[in-house]
Amino acid sequence: MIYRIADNIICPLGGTSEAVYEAMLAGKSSSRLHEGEEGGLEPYFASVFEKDLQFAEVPTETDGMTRLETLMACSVDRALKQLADNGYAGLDPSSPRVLFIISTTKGNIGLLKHEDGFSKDERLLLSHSADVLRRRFSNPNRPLTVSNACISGLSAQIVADRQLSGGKYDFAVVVGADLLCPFIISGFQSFKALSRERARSFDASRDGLNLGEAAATLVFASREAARKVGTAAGLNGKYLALAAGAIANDATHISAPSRTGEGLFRTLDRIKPALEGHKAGLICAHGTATAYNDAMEAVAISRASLDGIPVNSLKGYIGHTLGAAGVVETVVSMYEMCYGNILPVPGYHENGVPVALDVVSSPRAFEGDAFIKTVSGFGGCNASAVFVAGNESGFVIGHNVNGMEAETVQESVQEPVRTRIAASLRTEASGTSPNDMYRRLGIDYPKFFKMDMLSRLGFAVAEQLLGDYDGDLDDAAIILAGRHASLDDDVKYLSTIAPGNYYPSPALFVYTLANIVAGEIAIRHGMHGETTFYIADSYDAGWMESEAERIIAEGKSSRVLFGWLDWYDGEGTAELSLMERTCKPND
Amino acid sequence: MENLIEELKKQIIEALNFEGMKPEDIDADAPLFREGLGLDSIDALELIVLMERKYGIKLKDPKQGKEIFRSVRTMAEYIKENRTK
Repeated sequence: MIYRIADNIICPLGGTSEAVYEAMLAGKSSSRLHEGEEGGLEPYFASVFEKDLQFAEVPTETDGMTRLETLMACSVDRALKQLADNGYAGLDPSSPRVLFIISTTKGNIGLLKHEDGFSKDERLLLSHSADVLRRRFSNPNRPLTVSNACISGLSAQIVADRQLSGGKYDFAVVVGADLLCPFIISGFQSFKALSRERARSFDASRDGLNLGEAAATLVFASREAARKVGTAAGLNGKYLALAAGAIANDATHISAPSRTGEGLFRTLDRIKPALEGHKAGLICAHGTATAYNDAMEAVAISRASLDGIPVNSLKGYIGHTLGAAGVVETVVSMYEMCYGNILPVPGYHENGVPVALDVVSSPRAFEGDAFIKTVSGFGGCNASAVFVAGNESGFVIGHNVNGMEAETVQESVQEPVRTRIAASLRTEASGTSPNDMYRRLGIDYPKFFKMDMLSRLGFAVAEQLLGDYDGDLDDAAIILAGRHASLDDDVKYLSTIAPGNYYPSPALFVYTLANIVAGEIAIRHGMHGETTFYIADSYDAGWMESEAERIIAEGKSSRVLFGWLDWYDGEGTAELSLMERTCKPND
Repeated sequence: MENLIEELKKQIIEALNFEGMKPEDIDADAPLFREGLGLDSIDALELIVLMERKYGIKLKDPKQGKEIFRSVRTMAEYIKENRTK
């Protein structure tokens, strides 16, 4: 359990969380129809930074930072200023007790140009932006970069919870950001996923999503640190905590949501106990307004017996802000809860999902002291979290249980969990060697050759580790790290949107996300646990092993496939291990 | 028509990365999805790109694909009627 002490949103609706929330409350949207290009992009409805908007603080490139990095830094600056203005000056971002966690799907991908090819521009590595941010705030710790498709922003918060609970840090600065460029827009258009009108989440007439640009920051504190922050952590007199979070994979398809909402259902089922003693006033759903996503969410929410809780989606206000979405939408939901309003879903008139939800279609009072945030993304990944409000900073979740504080009870049952490495494999690969590895396995998996090379390498190595493994992998997690993410496939996708030869390939675009390989492995082996992809310059095996141990210790998975997986330009490395629990937590 | 069907089979194998598959392995009348070639939703989108790139046919609504992509033959028939290049 971690505590929110400050926040910020910068998007075309405003430059602070409060401004964005108030604009939404006034029914404003920053999305509009943008013209396409002759022989290229089709017209698209999106929320992008525009010069003529009142919010005119869009950063320019300064100090060698890209526009995205400047935007992230600006967002962190404002969150820290909010905290200082509220009366707490004790958060020094250069302290080793502060960790930066970055969430982005595509980082500086707009810098990848046709005319240059990929010029080994370091700025295209997602970890570069994280490092720039770390240096900007003189932070000594290796920043974490989470690239988990559209769930990245909530993934990063769940990772923050894991890190702060480990006791090494007092504060986690979670920053989510993505900017739009033809690369991203064309890809979503190749998936026929974009609407040319304002997104109408959950409505019968919905016909696709709107994209959006944003950066957002959430600063979290451990319980002890939050108590030191004291009243400065308050939001309209209330205090907020991330009470529980979970990530799960559908293990069915890399782009189509599960028809049974399997992964999302599992996350909701896992976080539900954290609602005990609280009244959930809202589910801020992903609600992209695509036919399949919204239907899947309704099924999952209903399966988890949470369909009595009011549901909204913020996509109709500022579009789908990708890696920022999980952060932006959590922050806005916090303001909704603390100021007592639920923002209605723009354009919602008639139920359009298989199970009718209580979709909020007109302004309504927020009744309760908790909300749920959900997100889902390519690669079959889903995340949910419960946020609760309390009356003092560093409050304890729930009520007294048999005279003991709930958290004390929780801590007392967390006995050491024994784990062991069941299998490990390290391999260097080059050229077409992942294909050769696959052929040597002697299995028939027609989709193998549809994968990008990163996924082929990961799939083939995972197959060697798991092919004959007789343990139950149903709840197994996959956590991977790599340097180049999907850059190898990014370059290939870019070639399909070249001027004069513009035929964006959906089959290539879907692999332009690092976490897809985890989805492929999850599908193959029926693994429904957490799937998370970290971007790092080099492999920190000890850290990854401790992450795997923590996932098992939390009781979320009994097995974790973890390791390093990298591929770029015909060269790659895979170093994967399977960790398993050797006894149950309470044995 | 038979020439177009043969051409289409080669293009499908290439566009959808069917490693080791030959045109004669594809039954022109077999269903493309689920049974038969076992294509999925991403493949359907890729076939839409193929139709545009090779034959200048732009499908606005992916739902149209359901009928058109029933088999290689139905696809060839649609292309024959609607091709612009």
